[in-house]
Amino acid sequence: MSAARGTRRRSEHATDAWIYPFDPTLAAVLVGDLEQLGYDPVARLLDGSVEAERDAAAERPPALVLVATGAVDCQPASSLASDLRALDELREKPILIAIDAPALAEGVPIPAGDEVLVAPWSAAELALRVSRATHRLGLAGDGDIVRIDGLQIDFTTYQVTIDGTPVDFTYMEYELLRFFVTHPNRVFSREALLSRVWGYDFYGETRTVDVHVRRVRAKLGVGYATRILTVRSVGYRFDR
Amino acid sequence: MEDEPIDPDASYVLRTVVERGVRFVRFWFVDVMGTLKSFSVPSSELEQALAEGVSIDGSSLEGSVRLRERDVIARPDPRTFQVLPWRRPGAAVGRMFCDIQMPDRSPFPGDSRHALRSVLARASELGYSFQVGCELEFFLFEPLLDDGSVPRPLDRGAYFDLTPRDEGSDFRRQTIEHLEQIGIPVKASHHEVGPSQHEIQLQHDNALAMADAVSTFRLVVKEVAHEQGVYATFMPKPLEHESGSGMHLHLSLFDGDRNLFHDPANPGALSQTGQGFLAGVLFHAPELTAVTNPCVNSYKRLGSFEAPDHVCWTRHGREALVRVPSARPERPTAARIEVRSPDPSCNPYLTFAVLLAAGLRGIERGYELPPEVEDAPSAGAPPLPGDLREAIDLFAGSQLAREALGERLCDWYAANQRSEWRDYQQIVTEFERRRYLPIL
Repeated sequence: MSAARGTRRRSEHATDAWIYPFDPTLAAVLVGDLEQLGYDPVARLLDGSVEAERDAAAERPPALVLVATGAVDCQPASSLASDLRALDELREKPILIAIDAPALAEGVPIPAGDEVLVAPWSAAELALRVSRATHRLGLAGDGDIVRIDGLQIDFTTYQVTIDGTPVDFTYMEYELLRFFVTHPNRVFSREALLSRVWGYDFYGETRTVDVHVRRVRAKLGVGYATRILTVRSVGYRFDR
Repeated sequence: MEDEPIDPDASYVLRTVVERGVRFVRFWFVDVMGTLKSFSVPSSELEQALAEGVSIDGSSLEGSVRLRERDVIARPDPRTFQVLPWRRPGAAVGRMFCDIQMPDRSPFPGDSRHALRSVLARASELGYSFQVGCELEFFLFEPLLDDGSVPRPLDRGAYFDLTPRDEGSDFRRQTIEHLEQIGIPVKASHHEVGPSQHEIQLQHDNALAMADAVSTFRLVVKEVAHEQGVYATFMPKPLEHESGSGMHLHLSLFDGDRNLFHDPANPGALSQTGQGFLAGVLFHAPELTAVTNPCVNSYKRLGSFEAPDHVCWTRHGREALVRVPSARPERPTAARIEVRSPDPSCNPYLTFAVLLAAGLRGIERGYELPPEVEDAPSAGAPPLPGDLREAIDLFAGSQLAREALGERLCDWYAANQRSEWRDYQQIVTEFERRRYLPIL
């Protein structure tokens, strides 16, 4: 194993968030806030080299990295963030940098493109910054992630999350949802959905569409189910 | 055995397993009585298992009457893959339903899922797709004592009661959440007539998906009960002098988008096809009761608290075997029949298979629909079997059941039930001691 020290039992969840807090009080707050956002936070201490982090990331890459070094006499958050960003294993991962006001006043360099938090911050601000950091990365890539409020669809991994919590679809349910979110605000007939989502050679009936829409709605839950609107005697529309 | 190319559903499963950190996938199938069976496949073996299936002992499908071992292949259906929602993410576990095949890949004749598939295929050749909606009732009790004593309900709430007397509303909420996460849309839920009795209605779906949903439902309810430190049961009649638990089925046939039970010329009444189907279900109901009501205990539910014990149908009455709902005549898709005899201890695959076979027979042979009854069954209505032995005898002689389910399943099924009846007959009940000891 690496130098990782979990503050709680680590799960096999794909939404690990690594936190680099050099202050235990701050660590506890961040763990709580990130759990609220659906992440499985792991507080890490950098007591070896950055190389140790490479090994840990290779074994189990985090979904998010939050570098919050706090005091200025520690290794500056910004330089640690640059070091982590330089690792291949973390190049594609959103990295947030949290610094305090004195560090900001000192004019520490902030790597371009990383989201910054200045202490003290509220849970709401943290949520916003995390959302911006992950969103920015999605846009910087090849558009493989779509986010609609808390609903996130990753076209590379086929994974869907709501407020950070994974939602499991079957293949055709996923394909239907993907079609909807990539063709928002337009009404599609059941026939159109059958031919475009299931394919022209699919032997089936348009009731298949209704059944799948119902299942997708059930899995999206109350927060997002209503985005898929039934347009009476026409078909369905996804509201972005 | 050569590998088949991995289809998109299977590769989606493999991908999800990696992304979600799923370490084991449970392969589910049911035995002849509908009991869910499971074995775990580590994710590292999943690709091969999807391509080739996994060899298992086919006698595990025979129920409690196991005759001899035989190798069969469990082939997982990747379209049924779900991560189980009640597991903590730290131990993510998935599940897939399996079709059971012979080593030469032909369907295993003892597989209930296959039996339903083959009746569905025959319906499909006739241009019919079979839709099923389901109302499942169950009781919540305090944790069971293992001494056979009368279980204690959690509340004394009643029909459609609201909290605070309805202790089960949290339970229902959690259950519905899990069901929806696993892709089983719920229509409604409420407190039922009995103390601590609940009902959850599942949205109609094609029959195979609904049979899988019922199997899953029973496990979800048990899991949530376990989490909440209570005991949930689908026993048809757990309490004397209280309502029993049924599994009302809403059945309809579609041709594409057209509900064939709907008569555009006479909305609110059943179409000719619907009448034929209903007549078939009614005519064959007695011989199929062993399937829809499989336990000794099932027969203590029938005939009281509105559970039917005669063959008749109604639109407005309450006690008939079949009700033809007429609440939404303006909605063609809602035309259906509601079969009220089945209980939630049944094998849903076989139940759907025999009901569909009976309905198709009624359509194909133009059975005539007997007149409607208004409320209580008329004197002339044929009775349903009064106990399990009578039901087995009728089932064993049913040509329709043999054609629908095949010889193997029918023989296994009857053997299991005869053994159940023998076990029951050997028990001297409290009733007998109380009734006879003082006077004989």
